[in-house]
Amino acid sequence: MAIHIQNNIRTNYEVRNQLHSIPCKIHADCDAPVSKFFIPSINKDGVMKASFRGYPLIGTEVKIPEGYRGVVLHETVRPATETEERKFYIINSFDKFNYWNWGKAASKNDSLIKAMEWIEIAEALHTPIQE
Amino acid sequence: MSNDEEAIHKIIDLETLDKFLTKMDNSENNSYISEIPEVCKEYPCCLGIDEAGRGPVLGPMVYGTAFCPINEAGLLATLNCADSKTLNEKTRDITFEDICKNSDKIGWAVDVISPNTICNSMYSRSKYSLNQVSMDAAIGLIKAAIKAGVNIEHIFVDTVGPAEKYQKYLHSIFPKYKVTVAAKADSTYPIVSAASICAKVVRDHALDAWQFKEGNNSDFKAFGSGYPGDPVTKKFLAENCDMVFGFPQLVRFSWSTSEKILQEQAYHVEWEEIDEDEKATKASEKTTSITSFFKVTEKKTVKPIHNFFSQRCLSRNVEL
Repeated sequence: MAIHIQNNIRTNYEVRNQLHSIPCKIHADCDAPVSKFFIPSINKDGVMKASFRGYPLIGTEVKIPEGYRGVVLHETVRPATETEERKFYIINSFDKFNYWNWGKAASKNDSLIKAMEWIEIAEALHTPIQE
Repeated sequence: MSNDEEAIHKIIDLETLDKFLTKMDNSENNSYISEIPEVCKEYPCCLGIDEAGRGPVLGPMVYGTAFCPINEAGLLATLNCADSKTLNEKTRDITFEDICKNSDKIGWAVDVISPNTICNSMYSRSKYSLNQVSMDAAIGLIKAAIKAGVNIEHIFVDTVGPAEKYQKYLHSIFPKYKVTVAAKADSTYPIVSAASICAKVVRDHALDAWQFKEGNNSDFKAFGSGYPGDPVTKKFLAENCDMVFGFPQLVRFSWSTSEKILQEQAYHVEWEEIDEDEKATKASEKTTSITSFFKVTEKKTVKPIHNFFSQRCLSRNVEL
Protein backbone atom coordinates (compact mmCIF):
# COMPACT_ATOMS: atom_id res chain seq x y z
CA MET A 1 0.00 0.00 0.00
CA ALA A 2 1.48 3.28 -1.05
CA ILE A 3 0.64 6.58 0.58
CA HIS A 4 0.86 9.79 -1.39
CA ILE A 5 1.00 13.13 0.33
CA GLN A 6 0.43 16.11 -1.86
CA ASN A 7 1.44 19.58 -0.86
CA ASN A 8 -0.84 22.13 -2.40
CA ILE A 9 -0.39 24.96 0.05
CA ARG A 10 2.16 27.72 0.12
CA THR A 11 5.27 26.73 2.00
CA ASN A 12 5.11 29.69 4.34
CA TYR A 13 1.53 29.12 5.33
CA GLU A 14 0.87 30.63 8.73
CA VAL A 15 -1.69 29.08 10.98
CA ARG A 16 -3.54 31.76 12.85
CA ASN A 17 -5.73 29.47 14.88
CA GLN A 18 -4.51 27.68 17.94
CA LEU A 19 -4.21 23.95 17.66
CA HIS A 20 -5.15 21.73 20.57
CA SER A 21 -4.56 18.09 21.33
CA ILE A 22 -6.94 16.88 24.04
CA PRO A 23 -6.71 13.64 26.04
CA CYS A 24 -9.92 12.00 24.90
CA LYS A 25 -11.48 10.59 21.78
CA ILE A 26 -14.50 12.39 20.40
CA HIS A 27 -16.49 9.98 18.27
CA ALA A 28 -17.07 12.47 15.49
CA ASP A 29 -15.28 14.05 12.54
CA CYS A 30 -16.66 17.50 12.02
CA ASP A 31 -16.17 21.23 12.47
CA ALA A 32 -16.47 22.47 16.02
CA PRO A 33 -16.88 25.93 17.58
CA VAL A 34 -13.52 25.70 19.37
CA SER A 35 -12.91 29.38 20.12
CA LYS A 36 -16.43 29.76 21.46
CA PHE A 37 -16.26 26.94 23.98
CA PHE A 38 -12.61 26.11 24.57
CA ILE A 39 -11.30 29.02 26.59
CA PRO A 40 -7.79 28.39 27.96
CA SER A 41 -6.52 30.59 30.75
CA ILE A 42 -3.16 31.00 32.42
CA ASN A 43 -3.31 31.21 36.20
CA LYS A 44 -1.01 33.20 38.45
CA ASP A 45 1.46 30.31 38.68
CA GLY A 46 1.79 30.31 34.89
CA VAL A 47 -0.15 27.05 34.46
CA MET A 48 -2.29 26.80 31.34
CA LYS A 49 -5.74 25.50 32.21
CA ALA A 50 -8.93 24.69 30.35
CA SER A 51 -12.00 22.56 30.71
CA PHE A 52 -13.61 20.12 28.29
CA ARG A 53 -17.01 18.62 29.10
CA GLY A 54 -16.37 19.53 32.73
CA TYR A 55 -13.03 17.71 32.87
CA PRO A 56 -10.05 19.69 34.16
CA LEU A 57 -7.22 20.00 31.62
CA ILE A 58 -3.67 21.23 32.06
CA GLY A 59 -1.85 22.34 28.92
CA THR A 60 1.69 22.63 27.63
CA GLU A 61 2.83 24.30 24.45
CA VAL A 62 4.71 21.83 22.26
CA LYS A 63 6.96 23.31 19.61
CA ILE A 64 7.70 21.31 16.47
CA PRO A 65 11.49 20.79 16.31
CA GLU A 66 13.43 23.04 13.98
CA GLY A 67 13.56 21.80 10.43
CA TYR A 68 10.17 20.12 10.80
CA ARG A 69 6.60 21.20 10.37
CA GLY A 70 3.36 19.78 11.62
CA VAL A 71 0.81 19.18 8.87
CA VAL A 72 -2.90 18.53 8.78
CA LEU A 73 -3.77 15.90 6.19
CA HIS A 74 -7.06 15.38 4.47
CA GLU A 75 -8.21 12.38 2.49
CA THR A 76 -10.99 13.07 0.02
CA VAL A 77 -11.75 9.49 -0.97
CA ARG A 78 -11.43 6.75 1.61
CA PRO A 79 -10.09 3.52 0.13
CA ALA A 80 -12.41 0.52 0.13
CA THR A 81 -9.68 -2.03 0.70
CA GLU A 82 -6.53 -2.02 2.75
CA THR A 83 -4.26 -2.60 -0.22
CA GLU A 84 -5.40 0.41 -2.21
CA GLU A 85 -3.24 3.44 -2.66
CA ARG A 86 -4.12 6.37 -0.46
CA LYS A 87 -3.94 10.03 -1.33
CA PHE A 88 -3.67 12.73 1.29
CA TYR A 89 -3.58 16.46 0.83
CA ILE A 90 -1.88 18.88 3.18
CA ILE A 91 -4.58 21.35 4.09
CA ASN A 92 -2.80 23.16 6.92
CA SER A 93 0.51 23.33 8.67
CA PHE A 94 1.70 24.42 12.10
CA ASP A 95 4.87 24.86 14.12
CA LYS A 96 3.40 24.49 17.61
CA PHE A 97 0.34 23.21 19.38
CA ASN A 98 -1.13 22.96 22.86
CA TYR A 99 -0.93 19.51 24.37
CA TRP A 100 -3.56 18.98 27.08
CA ASN A 101 -3.54 16.40 29.81
CA TRP A 102 -6.41 15.40 32.06
CA GLY A 103 -5.71 16.88 35.49
CA LYS A 104 -1.93 16.71 35.31
CA ALA A 105 0.88 18.51 33.55
CA ALA A 106 2.51 16.97 30.50
CA SER A 107 5.63 14.99 31.34
CA LYS A 108 8.07 12.48 29.92
CA ASN A 109 5.50 9.82 30.78
CA ASP A 110 3.36 10.99 27.88
CA SER A 111 3.74 9.07 24.65
CA LEU A 112 3.49 12.19 22.53
CA ILE A 113 6.16 14.11 24.44
CA LYS A 114 8.40 11.03 24.29
CA ALA A 115 7.70 10.49 20.59
CA MET A 116 9.29 13.85 19.82
CA GLU A 117 12.59 12.39 21.07
CA TRP A 118 12.58 9.97 18.17
CA ILE A 119 13.18 12.80 15.75
CA GLU A 120 16.62 13.49 17.23
CA ILE A 121 17.47 9.81 17.59
CA ALA A 122 16.35 9.07 14.02
CA GLU A 123 18.59 11.84 12.78
CA ALA A 124 21.54 10.45 14.69
CA LEU A 125 20.86 6.97 13.37
CA HIS A 126 20.18 7.78 9.74
CA THR A 127 22.44 10.71 8.97
CA PRO A 128 25.22 9.40 6.70
CA ILE A 129 28.58 9.37 8.42
CA GLN A 130 30.94 11.80 6.84
CA GLU A 131 34.59 11.15 7.01
CA MET B 1 -4.78 47.68 44.16
CA SER B 2 -5.36 51.42 44.50
CA ASN B 3 -7.87 52.87 46.95
CA ASP B 4 -10.14 53.99 44.14
CA GLU B 5 -10.47 50.47 42.78
CA GLU B 6 -11.10 49.09 46.23
CA ALA B 7 -13.92 51.57 46.72
CA ILE B 8 -15.62 50.28 43.56
CA HIS B 9 -15.28 46.69 44.72
CA LYS B 10 -16.85 47.37 48.10
CA ILE B 11 -20.27 45.78 48.41
CA ILE B 12 -22.62 48.02 50.39
CA ASP B 13 -25.97 47.17 48.82
CA LEU B 14 -27.58 45.08 46.06
CA GLU B 15 -26.36 47.42 43.32
CA THR B 16 -22.71 47.12 44.32
CA LEU B 17 -23.21 43.38 44.75
CA ASP B 18 -24.44 43.09 41.16
CA LYS B 19 -21.47 45.14 39.97
CA PHE B 20 -19.09 42.79 41.78
CA LEU B 21 -20.80 39.71 40.34
CA THR B 22 -20.89 41.05 36.78
CA LYS B 23 -17.16 41.80 36.84
CA MET B 24 -15.92 38.53 38.26
CA ASP B 25 -14.43 35.70 36.19
CA ASN B 26 -17.15 33.06 36.07
CA SER B 27 -14.75 30.19 35.39
CA GLU B 28 -12.95 30.69 38.67
CA ASN B 29 -13.90 30.90 42.33
CA ASN B 30 -14.41 34.36 43.73
CA SER B 31 -14.53 35.45 47.32
CA TYR B 32 -15.45 38.62 49.10
CA ILE B 33 -15.13 39.76 52.69
CA SER B 34 -16.80 42.88 54.04
CA GLU B 35 -14.99 45.39 56.16
CA ILE B 36 -14.58 44.13 59.70
CA PRO B 37 -16.54 46.21 62.23
CA GLU B 38 -14.30 47.49 65.05
CA VAL B 39 -16.57 45.84 67.64
CA CYS B 40 -15.93 42.46 65.97
CA LYS B 41 -12.22 42.85 66.58
CA GLU B 42 -12.75 43.95 70.18
CA TYR B 43 -15.51 41.74 71.56
CA PRO B 44 -15.95 37.96 71.32
CA CYS B 45 -18.04 37.08 68.28
CA CYS B 46 -20.29 34.36 67.05
CA LEU B 47 -19.73 33.30 63.44
CA GLY B 48 -22.30 31.45 61.35
CA ILE B 49 -21.74 29.48 58.15
CA ASP B 50 -24.24 28.23 55.58
CA GLU B 51 -24.33 27.32 51.90
CA ALA B 52 -26.67 28.04 49.00
CA GLY B 53 -27.05 26.34 45.64
CA ARG B 54 -25.67 22.90 46.40
CA GLY B 55 -28.35 20.98 44.51
CA PRO B 56 -28.95 22.95 41.29
CA VAL B 57 -27.43 21.88 37.99
CA LEU B 58 -26.76 25.52 37.05
CA GLY B 59 -24.64 28.29 38.51
CA PRO B 60 -22.25 28.59 41.42
CA MET B 61 -22.48 27.13 44.90
CA VAL B 62 -22.08 29.92 47.42
CA TYR B 63 -20.70 29.59 50.93
CA GLY B 64 -21.53 32.46 53.24
CA THR B 65 -20.49 33.57 56.68
CA ALA B 66 -21.79 36.31 58.98
CA PHE B 67 -20.33 37.39 62.27
CA CYS B 68 -21.12 39.86 65.05
CA PRO B 69 -20.31 40.31 68.75
CA ILE B 70 -22.22 37.83 70.90
CA ASN B 71 -23.69 40.65 73.01
CA GLU B 72 -25.12 42.23 69.84
CA ALA B 73 -26.81 39.03 68.70
CA GLY B 74 -30.22 40.45 69.62
CA LEU B 75 -29.88 42.78 66.63
CA LEU B 76 -30.16 39.80 64.27
CA ALA B 77 -33.74 39.06 65.31
CA THR B 78 -34.79 42.63 64.48
CA LEU B 79 -33.29 42.19 61.00
CA ASN B 80 -35.55 39.28 60.07
CA CYS B 81 -32.68 36.84 60.44
CA ALA B 82 -34.76 34.49 62.55
CA ASP B 83 -35.37 31.81 59.95
CA SER B 84 -34.10 32.34 56.43
CA LYS B 85 -36.13 29.44 55.04
CA THR B 86 -39.39 31.30 55.64
CA LEU B 87 -38.26 34.33 53.61
CA ASN B 88 -38.95 34.83 49.94
CA GLU B 89 -36.47 36.30 47.45
CA LYS B 90 -37.62 39.86 47.97
CA THR B 91 -37.48 39.81 51.77
CA ARG B 92 -34.09 38.15 51.57
CA ASP B 93 -32.85 41.01 49.38
CA ILE B 94 -34.18 43.52 51.93
CA THR B 95 -32.59 41.66 54.84
CA PHE B 96 -29.28 41.52 52.95
CA GLU B 97 -29.32 45.30 52.53
CA ASP B 98 -30.16 45.63 56.22
CA ILE B 99 -27.12 43.52 57.08
CA CYS B 100 -25.02 45.81 54.86
CA LYS B 101 -26.47 48.88 56.61
CA ASN B 102 -25.37 47.50 59.97
CA SER B 103 -21.76 47.29 58.85
CA ASP B 104 -20.69 48.82 62.17
CA LYS B 105 -21.79 45.63 63.95
CA ILE B 106 -22.18 42.79 61.46
CA GLY B 107 -19.54 41.57 59.04
CA TRP B 108 -19.96 38.96 56.32
CA ALA B 109 -18.08 37.09 53.63
CA VAL B 110 -18.87 34.78 50.73
CA ASP B 111 -17.03 32.23 48.64
CA VAL B 112 -18.56 31.83 45.19
CA ILE B 113 -17.58 28.40 43.89
CA SER B 114 -17.98 28.38 40.11
CA PRO B 115 -19.86 25.56 38.35
CA ASN B 116 -16.65 24.98 36.37
CA THR B 117 -14.68 24.38 39.58
CA ILE B 118 -17.40 22.06 40.87
CA CYS B 119 -17.35 19.74 37.85
CA ASN B 120 -13.56 19.99 37.46
CA SER B 121 -13.27 18.81 41.08
CA MET B 122 -15.78 15.99 40.66
CA TYR B 123 -14.12 14.90 37.40
CA SER B 124 -10.56 15.25 38.68
CA ARG B 125 -8.17 12.30 38.52
CA SER B 126 -8.00 12.00 42.27
CA LYS B 127 -11.63 12.31 43.39
CA TYR B 128 -12.40 15.58 45.15
CA SER B 129 -15.97 15.20 46.31
CA LEU B 130 -18.55 17.93 46.65
CA ASN B 131 -18.55 17.36 50.43
CA GLN B 132 -14.83 18.00 50.60
CA VAL B 133 -15.19 21.07 48.37
CA SER B 134 -17.89 22.32 50.78
CA MET B 135 -15.86 21.69 53.92
CA ASP B 136 -12.81 23.38 52.43
CA ALA B 137 -14.96 26.40 51.53
CA ALA B 138 -16.25 26.64 55.12
CA ILE B 139 -12.71 26.32 56.50
CA GLY B 140 -11.52 28.96 54.03
CA LEU B 141 -14.17 31.40 55.23
CA ILE B 142 -13.25 30.88 58.89
CA LYS B 143 -9.57 31.37 58.10
CA ALA B 144 -10.34 34.54 56.13
CA ALA B 145 -12.31 35.92 59.09
CA ILE B 146 -9.47 35.08 61.50
CA LYS B 147 -6.94 36.70 59.20
CA ALA B 148 -9.06 39.84 58.95
CA GLY B 149 -8.98 40.12 62.74
CA VAL B 150 -12.40 38.85 63.82
CA ASN B 151 -12.37 37.91 67.51
CA ILE B 152 -14.15 34.55 67.11
CA GLU B 153 -15.49 32.72 70.12
CA HIS B 154 -18.15 30.39 68.79
CA ILE B 155 -18.57 28.97 65.27
CA PHE B 156 -21.99 27.71 64.13
CA VAL B 157 -22.20 25.64 60.94
CA ASP B 158 -25.13 24.22 59.06
CA THR B 159 -24.47 20.70 57.84
CA VAL B 160 -25.77 18.41 55.15
CA GLY B 161 -23.93 15.25 56.16
CA PRO B 162 -23.43 13.76 59.63
CA ALA B 163 -23.01 16.68 62.05
CA GLU B 164 -20.92 14.99 64.74
CA LYS B 165 -18.08 13.92 62.45
CA TYR B 166 -17.97 17.33 60.78
CA GLN B 167 -17.93 19.10 64.16
CA LYS B 168 -14.97 17.00 65.33
CA TYR B 169 -13.15 17.71 62.09
CA LEU B 170 -13.68 21.47 62.34
CA HIS B 171 -12.71 21.47 65.99
CA SER B 172 -9.45 19.70 65.16
CA ILE B 173 -8.63 22.49 62.71
CA PHE B 174 -9.79 25.32 64.98
CA PRO B 175 -9.14 24.05 68.53
CA LYS B 176 -9.26 27.55 70.03
CA TYR B 177 -12.96 28.07 69.32
CA LYS B 178 -16.23 26.52 70.33
CA VAL B 179 -17.74 24.74 67.33
CA THR B 180 -21.38 23.79 66.88
CA VAL B 181 -22.37 21.87 63.76
CA ALA B 182 -26.06 21.09 63.39
CA ALA B 183 -28.60 20.19 60.76
CA LYS B 184 -31.03 23.03 59.98
CA ALA B 185 -28.80 25.40 61.97
CA ASP B 186 -30.13 28.27 59.88
CA SER B 187 -33.50 28.08 61.58
CA THR B 188 -31.98 27.55 65.06
CA TYR B 189 -29.18 30.11 65.17
CA PRO B 190 -29.85 33.65 63.87
CA ILE B 191 -26.17 34.14 62.95
CA VAL B 192 -26.35 31.09 60.66
CA SER B 193 -29.56 32.49 59.25
CA ALA B 194 -27.73 35.75 58.47
CA ALA B 195 -24.96 33.75 56.78
CA SER B 196 -27.59 31.79 54.88
CA ILE B 197 -29.21 35.00 53.63
CA CYS B 198 -25.85 36.36 52.41
CA ALA B 199 -25.13 33.09 50.60
CA LYS B 200 -28.59 32.78 49.07
CA VAL B 201 -28.78 36.40 47.92
CA VAL B 202 -25.32 36.19 46.35
CA ARG B 203 -26.23 32.89 44.65
CA ASP B 204 -29.50 34.31 43.22
CA HIS B 205 -27.84 37.48 42.01
CA ALA B 206 -24.84 35.61 40.59
CA LEU B 207 -27.25 33.63 38.44
CA ASP B 208 -29.03 36.82 37.31
CA ALA B 209 -25.75 38.60 36.57
CA TRP B 210 -24.17 35.62 34.79
CA GLN B 211 -21.99 36.69 31.83
CA PHE B 212 -21.82 33.90 29.25
CA LYS B 213 -18.37 33.41 27.74
CA GLU B 214 -19.83 31.29 24.96
CA GLY B 215 -21.64 34.17 23.26
CA ASN B 216 -23.79 37.18 24.10
CA ASN B 217 -26.12 36.86 27.05
CA SER B 218 -29.00 37.47 24.64
CA ASP B 219 -28.10 34.25 22.77
CA PHE B 220 -29.17 32.29 25.80
CA LYS B 221 -32.79 32.16 26.74
CA ALA B 222 -34.24 31.81 30.22
CA PHE B 223 -32.63 29.07 32.29
CA GLY B 224 -35.01 29.02 35.23
CA SER B 225 -34.10 28.28 38.83
CA GLY B 226 -31.34 25.84 37.96
CA TYR B 227 -32.97 22.98 39.86
CA PRO B 228 -32.91 19.75 37.85
CA GLY B 229 -36.69 19.39 38.20
CA ASP B 230 -37.47 22.86 36.80
CA PRO B 231 -38.93 22.42 33.27
CA VAL B 232 -37.40 25.76 32.16
CA THR B 233 -33.96 24.57 33.27
CA LYS B 234 -34.49 21.22 31.53
CA LYS B 235 -35.45 22.99 28.30
CA PHE B 236 -32.42 25.27 28.58
CA LEU B 237 -30.09 22.27 28.92
CA ALA B 238 -31.62 20.46 25.96
CA GLU B 239 -31.47 23.55 23.73
CA ASN B 240 -27.96 24.63 24.64
CA CYS B 241 -26.06 21.40 24.19
CA ASP B 242 -23.29 21.61 21.61
CA MET B 243 -22.59 18.27 19.90
CA VAL B 244 -18.87 18.51 20.64
CA PHE B 245 -18.43 20.73 23.67
CA GLY B 246 -21.67 20.21 25.50
CA PHE B 247 -22.86 23.06 27.68
CA PRO B 248 -21.76 26.60 28.49
CA GLN B 249 -19.82 26.98 31.73
CA LEU B 250 -22.96 27.93 33.65
CA VAL B 251 -23.80 24.23 33.70
CA ARG B 252 -22.42 21.64 36.10
CA PHE B 253 -21.44 18.84 33.71
CA SER B 254 -21.03 16.36 36.56
CA TRP B 255 -24.74 16.39 37.51
CA SER B 256 -26.62 13.31 36.36
CA THR B 257 -29.17 15.56 34.62
CA SER B 258 -26.38 17.01 32.42
CA GLU B 259 -24.71 13.66 31.90
CA LYS B 260 -27.95 12.18 30.65
CA ILE B 261 -28.54 14.95 28.11
CA LEU B 262 -24.92 14.69 26.89
CA GLN B 263 -25.37 10.97 26.44
CA GLU B 264 -28.53 11.46 24.43
CA GLN B 265 -27.62 14.51 22.36
CA ALA B 266 -23.87 14.96 22.08
CA TYR B 267 -21.08 12.95 20.46
CA HIS B 268 -19.68 10.19 22.58
CA VAL B 269 -16.38 11.11 24.22
CA GLU B 270 -13.97 8.47 25.46
CA TRP B 271 -11.51 9.31 28.22
CA GLU B 272 -8.37 7.54 29.20
CA GLU B 273 -9.13 4.71 31.60
CA ILE B 274 -8.01 4.98 35.19
CA ASP B 275 -4.80 2.97 35.47
CA GLU B 276 -6.11 -0.02 37.46
CA ASP B 277 -8.92 -0.79 35.02
CA GLU B 278 -6.50 -0.50 32.16
CA LYS B 279 -4.15 -3.07 33.63
CA ALA B 280 -7.03 -5.48 34.22
CA THR B 281 -8.23 -5.37 30.61
CA LYS B 282 -4.72 -5.70 29.25
CA ALA B 283 -4.06 -8.78 31.35
CA SER B 284 -7.21 -10.47 30.10
CA GLU B 285 -6.25 -9.80 26.50
CA LYS B 286 -2.91 -11.49 27.00
CA THR B 287 -4.38 -14.62 28.53
CA THR B 288 -5.16 -17.11 25.80
CA SER B 289 -8.44 -18.90 26.15
CA ILE B 290 -8.39 -22.64 26.76
CA THR B 291 -10.33 -23.40 23.58
CA SER B 292 -7.67 -21.74 21.46
CA PHE B 293 -5.67 -24.95 21.89
CA PHE B 294 -8.06 -26.72 19.53
CA LYS B 295 -7.98 -24.10 16.84
CA VAL B 296 -6.10 -25.11 13.76
CA THR B 297 -4.63 -21.82 12.77
CA GLU B 298 -1.29 -21.03 11.38
CA LYS B 299 0.76 -19.14 13.88
CA LYS B 300 1.81 -15.85 12.53
CA THR B 301 5.06 -14.71 13.95
CA VAL B 302 5.11 -10.99 14.22
CA LYS B 303 8.39 -9.49 15.13
CA PRO B 304 7.65 -7.40 18.19
CA ILE B 305 8.75 -3.81 18.10
CA HIS B 306 11.10 -2.49 20.71
CA ASN B 307 9.67 -0.93 23.86
CA PHE B 308 11.12 2.40 22.86
CA PHE B 309 8.61 2.56 20.01
CA SER B 310 5.58 1.03 21.68
CA GLN B 311 5.88 3.40 24.65
CA ARG B 312 5.77 6.29 22.23
CA CYS B 313 2.88 4.91 20.20
CA LEU B 314 5.19 4.77 17.22
CA SER B 315 4.76 2.00 14.69
CA ARG B 316 5.96 1.25 11.20
CA ASN B 317 3.26 1.90 8.63
CA VAL B 318 5.20 1.89 5.42
CA GLU B 319 7.85 -0.55 4.25
CA LEU B 320 10.76 1.34 2.82
